[in-house]
Amino acid sequence: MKSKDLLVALFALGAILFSWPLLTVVNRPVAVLGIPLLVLYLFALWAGIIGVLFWLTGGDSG
Amino acid sequence: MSWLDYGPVLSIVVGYLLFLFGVAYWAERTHRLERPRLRMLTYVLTASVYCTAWTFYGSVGLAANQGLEFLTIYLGPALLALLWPLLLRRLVRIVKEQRITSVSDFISSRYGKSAPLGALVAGLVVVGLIPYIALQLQAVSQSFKMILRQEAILDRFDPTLLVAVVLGVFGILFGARSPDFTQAQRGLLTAVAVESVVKLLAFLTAGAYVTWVLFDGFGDLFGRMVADPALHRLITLGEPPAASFSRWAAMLVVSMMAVVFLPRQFHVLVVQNQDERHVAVASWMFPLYLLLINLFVLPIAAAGLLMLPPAQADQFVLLLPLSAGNQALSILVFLGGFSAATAMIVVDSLALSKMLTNDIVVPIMLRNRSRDIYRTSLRSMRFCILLIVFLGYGWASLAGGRFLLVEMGLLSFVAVTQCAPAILLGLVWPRGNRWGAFAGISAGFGLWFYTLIVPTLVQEGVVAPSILEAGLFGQPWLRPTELLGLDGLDPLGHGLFWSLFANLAGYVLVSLATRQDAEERLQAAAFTGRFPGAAAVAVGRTILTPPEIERLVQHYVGGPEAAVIAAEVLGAKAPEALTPPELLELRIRLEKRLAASLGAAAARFIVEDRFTLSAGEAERLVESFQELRHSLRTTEEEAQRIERLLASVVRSVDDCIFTADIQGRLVTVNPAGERLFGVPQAELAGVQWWGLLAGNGPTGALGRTGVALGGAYAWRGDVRARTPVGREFPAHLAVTPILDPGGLVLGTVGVLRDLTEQQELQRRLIHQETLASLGQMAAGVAHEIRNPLGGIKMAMAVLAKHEGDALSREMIETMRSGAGEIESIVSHLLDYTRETRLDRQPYDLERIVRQVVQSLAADARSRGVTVACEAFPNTVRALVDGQKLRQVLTNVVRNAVEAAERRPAGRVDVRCSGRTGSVLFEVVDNGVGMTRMERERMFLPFFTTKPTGTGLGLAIVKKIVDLHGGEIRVASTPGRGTRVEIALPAGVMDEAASADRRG
Repeated sequence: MKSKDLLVALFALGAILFSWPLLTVVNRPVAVLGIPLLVLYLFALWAGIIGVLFWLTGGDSG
Repeated sequence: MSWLDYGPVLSIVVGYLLFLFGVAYWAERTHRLERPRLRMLTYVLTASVYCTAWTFYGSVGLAANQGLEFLTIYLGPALLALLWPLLLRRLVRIVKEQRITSVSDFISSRYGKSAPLGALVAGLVVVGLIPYIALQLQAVSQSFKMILRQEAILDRFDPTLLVAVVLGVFGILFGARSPDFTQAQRGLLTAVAVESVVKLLAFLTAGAYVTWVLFDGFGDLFGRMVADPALHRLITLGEPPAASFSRWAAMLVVSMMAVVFLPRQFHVLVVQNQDERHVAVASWMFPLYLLLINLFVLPIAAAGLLMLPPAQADQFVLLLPLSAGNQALSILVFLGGFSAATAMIVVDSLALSKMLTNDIVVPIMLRNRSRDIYRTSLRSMRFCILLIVFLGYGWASLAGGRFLLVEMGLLSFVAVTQCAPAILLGLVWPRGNRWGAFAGISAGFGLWFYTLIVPTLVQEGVVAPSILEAGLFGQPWLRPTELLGLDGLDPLGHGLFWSLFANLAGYVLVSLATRQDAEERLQAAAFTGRFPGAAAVAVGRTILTPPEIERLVQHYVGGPEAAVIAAEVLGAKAPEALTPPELLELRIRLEKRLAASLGAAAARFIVEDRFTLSAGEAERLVESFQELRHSLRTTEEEAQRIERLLASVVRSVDDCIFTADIQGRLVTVNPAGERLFGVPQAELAGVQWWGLLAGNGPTGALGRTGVALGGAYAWRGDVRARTPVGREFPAHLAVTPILDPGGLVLGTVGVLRDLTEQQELQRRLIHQETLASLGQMAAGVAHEIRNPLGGIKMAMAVLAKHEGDALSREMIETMRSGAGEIESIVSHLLDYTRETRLDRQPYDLERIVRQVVQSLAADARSRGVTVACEAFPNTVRALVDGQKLRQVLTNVVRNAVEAAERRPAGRVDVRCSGRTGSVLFEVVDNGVGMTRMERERMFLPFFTTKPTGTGLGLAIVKKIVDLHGGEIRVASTPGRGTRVEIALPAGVMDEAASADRRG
């Protein structure tokens, strides 16, 4: 699969992961590793996106 | 004295502003920022102008009030960053190609460089964004109040106004330096990048201080949140779910659009992008920046709620270090917030001023046919920057903090989102047109105002609240927050849904219902990358000659810039002797060069403005069109002439010429090919051309031709061809690929030459050469034999005279007869091979014939054969070599006698007759006759059917007849007899000198 298609697919996946109803799954006041679940979930996804983009665009070599 | 007194704070602010001026000034002059890494980093950091004071102060406020939804403003951009390598790169390419300067310019350019559309977008975007700028100034003002705590002084003099003026001047100095927005504004962007670093550092430092100094780390703060039911709402999404999630989704969508289409974002991300590759790096680095600046938002919000009154949530970032008494950190945080606000104000006012100038001011000036538009546009831009900053300040003082900071920002986001359908669909849907964009954007903004701004105005008391309760004109279904009775959504989701819905519907439906003009189709093709065909591209372009270009530039641009631009556009091209296509190219270059400064719509207006032409120039313009038309026509005629010529050559050539398509199927075969293969072209069509070759051709020929054609090379060589009925023949084949201008193989053209005749000729030539060399050798041998043979004969004659017994004499006699025979063969052979010359004289042929017949008659009678010579009807005379002709006739008649000898009533008839210019001898016998094979070979040397013949007699006959330029024909049937005809040219005779020399 070309990275172009992969990016579009990941965007669609991200849009679903960031929206209702999947958010209700993690929408509860508990802490995992000392961090609230929803916060952990959102920041982890966010970091995941950064990682994927870093990997797919070849880092800082442009 | 505290650092936080009025004087020191003001000095710090002034110092910081001076520092920014210094950075910008230095950046415009240094080459140290040229390094690729630094430029890339600058690009990412300027993109972070997305994080304004609203982020710096507002995020914490929003988190404290609404919980996690503040994150959507950054999650949306992070999510969209996944598409940056595709979408943003595409935008950058188009903007560079079309020299676009702003969002409104982009939309105007996409929809046929429409000035009214650009004005509409520019006006609405400016209206939507003034409150956002006001918000920044308000944040600056608030932070002053917080840090000074001497509000009495602020009542007398508010430094916010000073800040606004300074920012305007900054924008004018470093942004509006040149009207050409495609040039890098390096100083301004470097200052913005520095501010991005300051605000990130300030926020991270404040966050770390609050988290680890005031509290005991993340675990401590988050632990308190989880434990305190009142703080649950900060780490979960609130109830009721539907409304909360609709707001969440709406914020995700608008932030995604805002991060690219907000005027300042579009300016730094797209217009000021200096290298397309930076997009790839920014796509991961920018989300990382956002993540870092949001890392401590929740902890600070929680800490604030635990330590301070919730009403001051928007100022927690600054209030926490202040209340902890940390003055240095307070100053740093203050500068961070100040950086966030000022960077946004500078870039936004610059981008908006460009929009106002190019899409509203310049079109008005053009309509009035003002001169010197270039400089005026620069002045207009500078004025607009100040105007926008002051409008923002005015709005901020008017609103006086009653507006909720966050909501104002979000409303701006929704406003900008109204541009997204026209931009995004315009990139993928070629049919989307100007009227669709008009309808969509108008409807979208209209509903944005009605569903989102009106309720805000109600809250502010500007509009009577009855409209919310009863609806417009008392119609309940027109209630701004429950349009058509749609409830269950929060106001933001509700407004976004209706405005986007109306926007999309208007855009698509009106686009489908209306048509595009030529310029629009051209632009649609350029933006979508789908070209509808040459017809649309060629229309509607005015050709401008270099003097016209110079005059246009002089008229509208004026001053020294005019000369620069004209030189840039005209380049090295001499004003004379330009072809129409080159003139067209000049026109496009001029338009793009002007677009970089004045926008697409204005540039088009100027270039298309024919009213500025003088009468003479207009005439020349018409001439150039006629020239163009004329040159097009002659080219067409020329092409047709060449085509006809080529066709007639192909038809008349004797070789088979064929063309085949890319799969090798025959498309055309010329008449010679049809003859060669014995079938009409129609039957050959569709056959693959290698079907015309025999499988047992030269090894690998087909393979080689295939390889050659696959690699687009020509091939030639010998092959065996095969007709559809299976006849094979040798042939020479040359195949060449047909290439298009791009080097792609379109098919094959081949020439096939039949080599049958040529090869037969070669075979015979080789045979004859062999014979000739054999004959020369034989002649040499014969010559060498004759001399010793003479000696032998003489010796035997002497020996025969001596007495001897009978046996000896008999043997000597045998030897003499044998030697005589050898001599005869040798002399015949020498006769045949010797180079013979004719001694032509006029002869009475009857005499020759009768002499021959008489000399042979006696011998014939002894063999029982009658030789008869028919009476000559008249005297036949001819110029011949009489001696040689006698030899010929003797030879032929003797052969006839010998053939007839074994037959009963053997008979040979000899006739001679004269015709005009030629004589004919006929020798007819009723002998054994000859087979076909014998007849074919009878004139070959050494061919004989007789036991004692040399096989040279008839060969000599043929040679003599040939020397006379005559012809010898033989007709024979085995068992029935033979007829020999010898035809000789009579030759030109002088009647007076025609005495018979010899008998």
